[in-house]
Amino acid sequence: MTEDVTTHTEPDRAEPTKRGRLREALRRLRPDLDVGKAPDPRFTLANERTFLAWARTGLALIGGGLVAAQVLRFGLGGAHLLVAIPAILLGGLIAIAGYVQWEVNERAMRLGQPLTYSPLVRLLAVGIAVLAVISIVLVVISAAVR
Amino acid sequence: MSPQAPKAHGWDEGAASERTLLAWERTAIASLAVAALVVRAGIVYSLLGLAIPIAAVLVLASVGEWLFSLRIYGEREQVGETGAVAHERVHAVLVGITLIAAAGSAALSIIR
Repeated sequence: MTEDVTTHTEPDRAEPTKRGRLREALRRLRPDLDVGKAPDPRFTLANERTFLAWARTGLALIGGGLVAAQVLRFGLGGAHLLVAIPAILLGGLIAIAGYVQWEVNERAMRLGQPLTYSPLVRLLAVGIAVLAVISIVLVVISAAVR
Repeated sequence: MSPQAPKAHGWDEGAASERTLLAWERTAIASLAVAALVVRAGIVYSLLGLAIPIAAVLVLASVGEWLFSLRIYGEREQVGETGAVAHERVHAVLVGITLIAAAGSAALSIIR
């Protein structure tokens, strides 16, 4: 048996420019929502409002952390940062997770699949509980030291 | 006199778009509030060189959010016919701005 060997010459391709590579990288980052069919517009808009509510929650935590850094005084050096920095980090984390959940929900709606429960609710509840515990501990230690 | 019976609509004639417009405007107000807190922190800690660029990004974001809310409301008739548009790029930009605010706020709190 003889093998049919054919030689192909690759067409000359121009090197992608810096801008082209950046555009390609951004395209890859973009969520693939061109699946299924467009859901009822009310659902898409409700999903958007939920994302915005999480974004505002993130902004509120960032603002709260900033205020905590300026206002709280425990008399324990930089102890106020134990409240401020976790609140700010939680705010940033919630903003990212809110976006991921929005994308997951949008895809599910387009594919006619059931929506998944959001892990954000648990993240927020645990985060606020941890902040509360840290605050209580700092207040008690601060009172004991004085 | 009996009230006029509501007309039957397949689409709720912009109420969902109006609620979304209001949600964007609330987000714009939240961005402005965080910008004010960042400027206050900059004044208190004498770190205006760091605070002002972060606050400027947040103020520009709030203007963008307000303008975008008007665009969403403007899309309401088209939305009823073709389905709502998923604004993934705008959402990603909003997350990016929130992360800038978080990084700036953390830096202001630590550097003070």
